[in-house]
Amino acid sequence: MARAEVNITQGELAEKIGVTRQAVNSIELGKYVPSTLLALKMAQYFGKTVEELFMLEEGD
Amino acid sequence: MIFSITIVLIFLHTIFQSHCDFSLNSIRELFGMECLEGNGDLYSGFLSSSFGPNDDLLLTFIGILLIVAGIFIGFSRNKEDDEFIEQLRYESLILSLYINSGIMLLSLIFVWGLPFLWVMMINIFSILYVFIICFYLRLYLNKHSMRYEKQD
Repeated sequence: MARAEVNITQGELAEKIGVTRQAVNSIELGKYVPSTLLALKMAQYFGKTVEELFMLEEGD
Repeated sequence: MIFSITIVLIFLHTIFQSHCDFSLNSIRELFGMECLEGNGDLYSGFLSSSFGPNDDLLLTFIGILLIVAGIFIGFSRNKEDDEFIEQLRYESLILSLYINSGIMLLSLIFVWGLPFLWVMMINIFSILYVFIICFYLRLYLNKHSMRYEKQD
């Protein structure tokens, strides 16, 4: 997970991209699919592309 | 805030039910509803028992406040609000519609006669309040389930 590479907590990441910690938690667990805007914000924060962070799973 | 006012009003209404001054008599006279009462037809018992002169404007006021308070509680932005919470809100709204429809179906099958009037009265507010319960329950469960995740 990209967050582990940067070594920040869920709470810190949530604060940086302007969402709740619950949202980050749910995205990591795969319970919630973020909007394009949020995905782009996350990608921008980690300095990666959206495709590097998120990928299609079987059945999507 | 509005909700607490409503609760106080309901409380007051139950205490002073027989001593209320807000009478609907004038309105009833205005709409000529007096003629419907007391002539032994289907409506006479219904009107005098449920919406008769004993009833008052306070009930209408409580109804309005309950709906407005429900909308404020359910749809106002939380202190922490983002697209995930919004998603949760929409999902809860749909879930509440299913639950409410289920309850209504059961009521249609099992409740007959005049008690069904109560079902209809409750149904005015039930979808909103089932939604609020669903939403806050899911919010609580979501916050609670995070504790079991690996802490960084």
